[in-house]
Amino acid sequence: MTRFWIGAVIGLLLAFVGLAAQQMGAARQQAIAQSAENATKIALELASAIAEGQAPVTALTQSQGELPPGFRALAISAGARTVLAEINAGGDLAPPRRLTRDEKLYYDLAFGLATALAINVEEGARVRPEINVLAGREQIRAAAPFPRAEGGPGVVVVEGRPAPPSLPLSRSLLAFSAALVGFVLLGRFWPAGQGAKAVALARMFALAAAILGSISGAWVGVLTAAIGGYALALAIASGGVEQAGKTLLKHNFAYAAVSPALLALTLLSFFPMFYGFVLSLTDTTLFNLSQPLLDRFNGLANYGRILGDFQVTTASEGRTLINYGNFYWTLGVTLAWTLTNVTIGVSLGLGLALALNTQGLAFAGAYRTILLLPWAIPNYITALAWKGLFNPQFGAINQLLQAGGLEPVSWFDQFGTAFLTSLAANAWLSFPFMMVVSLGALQAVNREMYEAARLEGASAWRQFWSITLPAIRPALAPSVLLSAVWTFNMFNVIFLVSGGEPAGATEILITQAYRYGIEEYRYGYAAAYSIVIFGLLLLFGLVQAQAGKRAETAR
Amino acid sequence: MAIARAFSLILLMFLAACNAKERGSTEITLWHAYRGAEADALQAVVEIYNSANAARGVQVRTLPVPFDAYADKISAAVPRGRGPDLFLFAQDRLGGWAEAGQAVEPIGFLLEERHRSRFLPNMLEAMTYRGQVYGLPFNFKSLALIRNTALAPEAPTTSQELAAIARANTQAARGIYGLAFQYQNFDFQAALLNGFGGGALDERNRAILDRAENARAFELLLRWKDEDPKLPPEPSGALITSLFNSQRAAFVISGPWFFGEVAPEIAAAVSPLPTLDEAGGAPIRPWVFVEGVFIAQGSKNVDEAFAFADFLTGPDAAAVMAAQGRQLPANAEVYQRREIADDPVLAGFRQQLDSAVLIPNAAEMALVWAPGEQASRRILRKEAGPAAALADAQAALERSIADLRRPQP
Repeated sequence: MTRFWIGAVIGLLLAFVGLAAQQMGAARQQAIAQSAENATKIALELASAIAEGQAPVTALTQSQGELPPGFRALAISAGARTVLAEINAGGDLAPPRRLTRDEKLYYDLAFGLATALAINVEEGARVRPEINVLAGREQIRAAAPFPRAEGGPGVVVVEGRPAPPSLPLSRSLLAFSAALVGFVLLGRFWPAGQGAKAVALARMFALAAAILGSISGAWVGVLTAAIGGYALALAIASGGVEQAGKTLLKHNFAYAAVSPALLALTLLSFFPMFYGFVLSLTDTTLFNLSQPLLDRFNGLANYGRILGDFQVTTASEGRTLINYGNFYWTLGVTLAWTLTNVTIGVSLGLGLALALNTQGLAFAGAYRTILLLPWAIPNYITALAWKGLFNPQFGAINQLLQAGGLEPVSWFDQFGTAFLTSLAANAWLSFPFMMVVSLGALQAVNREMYEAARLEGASAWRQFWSITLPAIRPALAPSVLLSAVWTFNMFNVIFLVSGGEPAGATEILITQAYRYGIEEYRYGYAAAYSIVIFGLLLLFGLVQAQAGKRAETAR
Repeated sequence: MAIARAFSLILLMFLAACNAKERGSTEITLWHAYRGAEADALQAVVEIYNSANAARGVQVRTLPVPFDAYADKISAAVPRGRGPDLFLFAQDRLGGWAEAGQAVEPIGFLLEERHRSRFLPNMLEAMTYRGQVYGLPFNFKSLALIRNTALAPEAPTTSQELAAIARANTQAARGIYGLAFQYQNFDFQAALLNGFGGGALDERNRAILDRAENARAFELLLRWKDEDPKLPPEPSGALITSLFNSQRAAFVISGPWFFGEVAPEIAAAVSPLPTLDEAGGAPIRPWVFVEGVFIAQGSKNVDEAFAFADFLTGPDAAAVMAAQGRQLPANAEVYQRREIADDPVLAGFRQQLDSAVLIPNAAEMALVWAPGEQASRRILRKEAGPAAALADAQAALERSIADLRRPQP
């Protein structure tokens, strides 16, 4: 019972503090917003008066009375770099003057707003704000453009410090007392019992929050307090909080140890992933970035365009052309890329591991070190080195071909050869990992089994299939999965070696997403592309896990 | 005792560090993607500036960045405040950076008349996007006609003259060509497209690949390639260099960078690309890339950065960049100097500028390359006629522009 009351009081107090803080913040925000709105209104009026032909001095003089205390208004011609008219913070009219170095911002604002107007006309929609408003705690500034014939755009700036907010403390106190009374009354007459208690408590919180909210009128606050209170009450009354606290205390070191990683994951992984998903539901491009997210929302249209475009080829003048930008072409290339790479990596790695595992091999340590080198070197350096090797003009491979009397090959002009260049680079990069994994697994295989097999007359081939492979499979399978995922998204090698040449034919999904996003400025579309890649890999992982499980049970 | 000594040592170091900071040394970082002579010349200019400004405590430090990754490094680093104070780049990415914001500091406000009047025609236009100036033009690069004066003593002025001299110097069966250039690349082809009056984008950045002028330009290119005077098949950059250096190419179309590869025993001269008899005497108009000095947005030292940019684009720095770096400065005054005006290479490229066109600095330009190169491959491999291939490219370009920009109502 004591637990119930402690929980209830703490919950209510928290709800109150949260609400009061929110209220104070809201009041300050409201004061700033009010100030900014006022400034915006004046700036817009002045700009339109000047646009309609009124002299800036006249327009400013007429608005002199409207300016809040401490605010100033300027009409600026950016082309002439002059302040055409100014009412200073004291409320007096100042004569025209040159812009000072500190007022570069006004010049840039004038050009920026003129560009926004032009782009909105071009786009046929308001994708850019046509007024610039800064609403800070220290400064309020509204800038509205007006066209000016001589040498560049004009801008009206109204700026000053916002008025301090009036805090609605008394109102909050009143609300708190009302809620407390309601809470006590309700708690007194509510039926007891562990489960019912939690529900009752939650209801009370909802009610208390509703009272608080209805007095203050802030719906966000009501909702936050009600939901927060409900959750907290449930957690406390059911003993969840106590239990969680106990576990936290008991395993405090473990939690402390993982918390930095958890924080980093949230910031670097979960949030970007979530943001990417949100972005994928919009038609965000370079030109409408500043529009509110909701205005850019276009549902699943990006996904529809990516997945619904089955035109892998087009017929033109009796010939079939491949659309290299098509998703299914790129997917096919990616799958071929993954499959060939994993096959080469595994067979090369396993082969070398078997060779290194030979009993009594001289210099085995030296070989192993040398064979590990490709893995030790950062892969972008390796990729650039391979690109250099394949350079059609100065590359070592073409030089060798020519020295042997052969024609040099334009490696990046054909799909097949361009694909080969990346494949070679990635094979070089991927076999050491497979080799290390296989070697480790091989060394754990019981030697006696081979002896037994030899006594039975099994061939080396038979030994490999019946002893070696089954023995190292548990170690090999996850590395193959890992290597498949890495290769699927092996951005560096494709980007740096073939670069998608020729004409985007050898792009894989991840480099294609990069091109859409970074080079073509289509952020929403690129985000959808990455989510599709994520989905494919997730599917692959799930299928693989299922297969693994089935193999486990079969054994 | 030992602790006290260590403590006083730490205190001393701290004071020294404070003192160093107080002396107010300002470091300006400059990113570039130069190598070889250009990088050395830039370093020389920076050292001149540094020694002149050492007393003020201003030091410029350069950081070379590999060209392949350069544009993306700027796009990624600068808006997050991890960029330099200044960077050098051509104007073709400017529109994208200006639209995205947070990348390039507008500098129109800082420009005085002496800056505006300092440059060759069109240079400042390249740095201007929607009325605002974002950079100071540093140098320009465009294609021009390079000839081996032993094989072709006179520069041709018309395309028919060029074809005639080239024909006389061509023995395709023996691998000798009168004219050789990387005609498979879209930026080389663009010189012809522009010359015929076509191009990739119009002045409002709408796709115009399907204009009949562009098809005519490709027809001329096909005639040059297959019939008269015959161009080398598979014209890689190395092949062009090796043909020219072994006296097997009389004319080459290339840019200033080509002279880094020309063998010293070859006497080469530069002249503007000829006029096109096939297009009523209009000149072949290559694209000009103007490299500018841009102030990265978020630079803590905008004024100091601008002061260095001012110096870098002034006549003294330009003279070093021209003489030592073999660059074509955007500064106009430097071409009055004797050693620059008499330099056959620099003077030739300078002359070409008069008939060249700026490559658009709009964001849409980034979308041109893929369809342009696709069309060029199909036409040159005879997979499609110029008109049909260009119509497909036009449709693809229109689609991708519409994806970037909402269509106008």
